[in-house]
Amino acid sequence: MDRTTLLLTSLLSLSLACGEEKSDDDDDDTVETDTDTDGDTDIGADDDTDDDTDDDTDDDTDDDTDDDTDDDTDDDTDAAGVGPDDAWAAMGCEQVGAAAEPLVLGASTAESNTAVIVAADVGTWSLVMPASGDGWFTLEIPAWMTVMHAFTEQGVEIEFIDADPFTEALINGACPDAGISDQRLAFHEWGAYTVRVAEGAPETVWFAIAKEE
Amino acid sequence: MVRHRQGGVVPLIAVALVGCRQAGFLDTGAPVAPGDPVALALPAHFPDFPGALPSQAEADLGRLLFHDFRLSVDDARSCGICHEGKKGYTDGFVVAVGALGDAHTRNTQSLLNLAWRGPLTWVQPELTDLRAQMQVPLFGTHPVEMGVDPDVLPDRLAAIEVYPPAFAAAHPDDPTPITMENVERALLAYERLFVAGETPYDAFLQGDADALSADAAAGHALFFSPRLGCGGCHGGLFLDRQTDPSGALLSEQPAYVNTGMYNIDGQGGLPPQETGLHAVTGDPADMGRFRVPSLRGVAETGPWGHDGSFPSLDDVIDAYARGGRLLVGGPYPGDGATSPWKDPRITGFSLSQTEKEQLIAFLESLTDAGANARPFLQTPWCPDEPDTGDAGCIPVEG
Repeated sequence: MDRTTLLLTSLLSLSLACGEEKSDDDDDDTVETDTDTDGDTDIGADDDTDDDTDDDTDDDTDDDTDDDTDDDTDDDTDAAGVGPDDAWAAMGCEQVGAAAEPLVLGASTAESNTAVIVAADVGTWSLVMPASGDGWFTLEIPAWMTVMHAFTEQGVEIEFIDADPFTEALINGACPDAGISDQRLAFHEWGAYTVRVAEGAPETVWFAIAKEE
Repeated sequence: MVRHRQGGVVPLIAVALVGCRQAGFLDTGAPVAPGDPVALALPAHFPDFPGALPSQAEADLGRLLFHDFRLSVDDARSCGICHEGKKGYTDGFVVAVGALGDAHTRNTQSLLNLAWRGPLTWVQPELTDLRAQMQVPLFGTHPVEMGVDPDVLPDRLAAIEVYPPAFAAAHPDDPTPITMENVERALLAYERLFVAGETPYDAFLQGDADALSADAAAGHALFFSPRLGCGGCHGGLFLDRQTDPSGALLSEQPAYVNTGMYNIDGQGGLPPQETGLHAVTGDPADMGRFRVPSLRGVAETGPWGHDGSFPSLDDVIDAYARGGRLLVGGPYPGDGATSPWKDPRITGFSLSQTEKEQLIAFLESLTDAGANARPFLQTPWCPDEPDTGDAGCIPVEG
């Protein structure tokens, strides 16, 4: 439909619509998305994978791995695979030495909203785990369709509830010896996302993010 | 990020919008001319509309402005995106985030039934002028919310084809109607029309004994029972006024209450960024006191609390049942139940799981499910997606 036709159609429809009840709300100006709520983000590098990442890693890193990560169950290589060596991964490496803002995590989901991180373009935090159990915080995503990399220490399991992970937590391909993981995730809608840091993490956990443009 | 479709606008569309003789947005069926007052059909049990009703043309102009992303520094925020109908006219964030990424210190409040709100914001009893309040999100810099430059916006609006006829229709006797004052007046006119009064609870109030589900009816009884005493602060038609045990209003003004959410130092301290009425008055006794919010639409306005720190209504109820919130972890641990500044009415109560579910069912009965679908409350602007077939919307020019 060309622009003139579109506008004339709009005008005609607007005139016809005067006084009409409109039952749907499809014209809302937020993006309607199929938020993935399955929550089965199997995040975290397995401890037993250090010596098993040699052959498959390059194959896994150059393409989207969202669909095939769950299918590649013949071995555990993917869970400990090396992520891409790209600009985003490099940003994670650069954050290793950056000043980290401390954040004491909540001790339950009920406390998650007391510990809030607003997702800036890049940021680094030192997450302080509760005395026992999982740690909880809320990640505020201030824009729709945000694609973000989350970096943390290898072996630390972080679950971004209601986010849509493109990849598992892979070894950061830009600095594979630094001991940090790189997970690429999509946040389809803006808003507040609950994040769980699994019990068993160190007392303080290094955590960084980098948003893709 | 949502972006509007770019391109030119045919002035006829603007004329059609402004001149549209539409039914009242509460479906009175009465056609309204642009210069006539909007056809507002209030629920029968609602009080009269405070002040004069705006003209249809002014309300139409307010609708354009309220939903226009160009009223922000980055063209990515409108009033309506942070006060979204599907979220009870809130934004779903814990604390609001401004157009430049600034984190705020409070949770976004609902705009439902704003015309009867009285004091605005969480902590400003003297602030009742909505025009004065809206200048904070529009122009404020600490933090930036929308980041509008009032010296630039009128000229910018004047260059957008839909606006000159819309302003002219709203102010037919004004030769230069595109001013910030008129922008604010139009926004004010539109926002005051967000009426939500067709809930199951409203039907119940009007005599329909079967309007509430069995669970909601049980929850209603619990809510106003002496055991829970929720109605002591959340009383009256809008559930934000103090009442006595008989339900009689104790004051026309809302209360400011410390509900025992925090006690970070054992002396009733709150997170320093938001200490409540204390920040305004300096009175230690005002530590942690925040305006009692209306509960209309509450099920949709999460997260809850002045700082959004309650992720669920379950968590809210648990805190009240305990007589104050216990935070074990997080940045602000402490036992709010022992805060010396906590309101003496927050004493706690016992509640079974079934009763909690009933209480939540009652809170859910406070949602006006149809409010969000009313045409007048929808954005008039086309979404960014190419040719969605959303006939009648206005394409956005650059």
